[in-house]
Amino acid sequence: MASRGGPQRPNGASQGKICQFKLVLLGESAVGKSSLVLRFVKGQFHEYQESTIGAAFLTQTVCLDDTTVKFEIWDTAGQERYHSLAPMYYRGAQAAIVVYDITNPDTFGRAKTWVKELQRQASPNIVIALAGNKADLASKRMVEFDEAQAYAEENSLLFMETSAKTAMNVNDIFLAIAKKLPKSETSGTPQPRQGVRLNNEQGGQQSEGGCCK
Amino acid sequence: MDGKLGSPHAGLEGYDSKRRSVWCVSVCYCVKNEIIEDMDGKLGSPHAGLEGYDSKRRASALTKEHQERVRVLQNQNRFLNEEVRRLAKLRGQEHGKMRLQDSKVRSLEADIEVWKLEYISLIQSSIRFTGTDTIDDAELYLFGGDRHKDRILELLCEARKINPSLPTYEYLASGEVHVDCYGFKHHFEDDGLLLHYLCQELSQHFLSQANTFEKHQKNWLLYLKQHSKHLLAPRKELKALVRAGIPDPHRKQMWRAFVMAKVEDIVLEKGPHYYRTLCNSVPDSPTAARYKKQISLDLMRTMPSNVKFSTAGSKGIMDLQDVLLAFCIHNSSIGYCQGMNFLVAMALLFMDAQDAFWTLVAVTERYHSPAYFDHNLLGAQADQSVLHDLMSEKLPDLARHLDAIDIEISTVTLNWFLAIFFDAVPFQVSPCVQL
Repeated sequence: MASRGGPQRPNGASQGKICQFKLVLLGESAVGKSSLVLRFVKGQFHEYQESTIGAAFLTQTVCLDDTTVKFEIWDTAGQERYHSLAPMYYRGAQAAIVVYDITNPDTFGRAKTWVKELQRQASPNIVIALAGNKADLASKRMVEFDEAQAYAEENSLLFMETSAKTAMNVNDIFLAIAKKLPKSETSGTPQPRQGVRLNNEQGGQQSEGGCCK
Repeated sequence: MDGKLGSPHAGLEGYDSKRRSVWCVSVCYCVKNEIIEDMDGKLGSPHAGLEGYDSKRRASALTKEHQERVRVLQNQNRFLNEEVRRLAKLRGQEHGKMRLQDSKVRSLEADIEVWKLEYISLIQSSIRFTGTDTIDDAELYLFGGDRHKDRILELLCEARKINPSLPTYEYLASGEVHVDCYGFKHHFEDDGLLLHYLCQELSQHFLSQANTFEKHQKNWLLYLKQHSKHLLAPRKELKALVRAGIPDPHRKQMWRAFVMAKVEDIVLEKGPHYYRTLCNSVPDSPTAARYKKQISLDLMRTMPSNVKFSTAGSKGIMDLQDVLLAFCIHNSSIGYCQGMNFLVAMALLFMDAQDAFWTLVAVTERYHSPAYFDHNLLGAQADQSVLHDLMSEKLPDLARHLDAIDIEISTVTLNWFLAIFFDAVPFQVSPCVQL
């Protein structure tokens, strides 16, 4: 199994495979990457979600038939100048969700460049999903569904329009990715579970007197 | 004699026996005065010499008698004086004992506060994590049914007598929003998390009641008084104080001093009205226009849970916008980088807009290297390489472990550096880390 001694499900479903996958979210600033993750991981939505600095890390587990899929999610910052850091986050990722805002055509253009970059530089078998977020704002729509779907088909991407606000298609897109990921015995990120003791030899180097009260 | 009698009078109140002695002394004093006056009258009378032998003898007998009485009174006076002295000494000793007892009681009381703190921390640490690894999903798991919960609420009740700004359980449990001392809103749907939050608030409270904290506050006051002219001069002393935490009431003053020391030359060169001038030039500035969109996107996404920044158009939001746009014009090669919004918001929680502006200048241009926030975040990335190398050298076990599980440390630590731990530690801690 990919993750021996991995987390036991609380309901005791220890039989069946447990796979871990690294998933990265990419896309223009304020398209709703963090909101999608928050909806998926905690079932919450905030009208104003704090902007992401660098990247945030979260995990969520989904059950798929007899397989438990644990997503290790890297939610990245959208501003252009964080672009140069993106490879650090998508390196080794088995899945990516590229997000755009259906009310803003620029963000769709930016999504396309992310897809291109992933196809060129990420792991060759990476599963890429395209998410047209803010689908609840249909009256302000600027990117047509058909246009995005055609683009997705051309590039063999999963595609859904989503709404973190109404939860529309949020779990679905993650599930669709989970289904598409190869779940062989060796898939996923291998996870040796034993930790490392930090103060073994370095104990003496700890400076006394922390800086905080 | 007057002097002798007069001086012990001062410290005599309080004890019955002493009062009695005082009374005796003053009675003796009066009697003595009467006698002396009487004798004076007799001796000074012009007819004294004419009364003849008899009267002379009577007078001398009277004088003798009077002298005898004076002697007795003097003895009494001496005795009473001694008594007064003895009692004063006893009183002094009692005073000393009381002081000792008082300080013992105080230190025991402080000990109790520390134990309460320990108890609360223990409960706080009894958190069970469910699947998703984040604190928001933690559950408080208490053994013994409601026993601990009741105890927490009792302690909270007590603590509220001293600090009424602490929230009540009932208030939070009814779904109301509590605004903490920094302006952050808290509300809870889960009872366990609510209790956890109360424990956190109680810990803060007990910490502020502890002996060490009081001493720390005193040390700060003393420092600020002694070094009001040159706040930052005694580096070593200051370092120790700052590392133990700047008390909130002094934070504004100290942050300002640190920031101004870093940017002194720029302030001198640009003049005192620089920030205002920059703000006024925003509407015509192409640089400001270039970043305005991104900044606008982030304004409401900066500390949305803080009352200062949760309403569009509020002073907090306008100040945030002004400072960020002014900075774009001030340093057009850096412009606006996500993360700065949090730095400025943090500064605005404690300082005014102009000081927050200089704080941003100090952090981006002086504390960090100028390339830190540039278009490729070169400086920030360089720092991460340095950190990586340092870790290999200082913590080789950890470095090997992270290598083995294929985790790049900078994915975790980049934010720590960029926004100075803003989203990496609980809020109460971050102002302490930042300075």
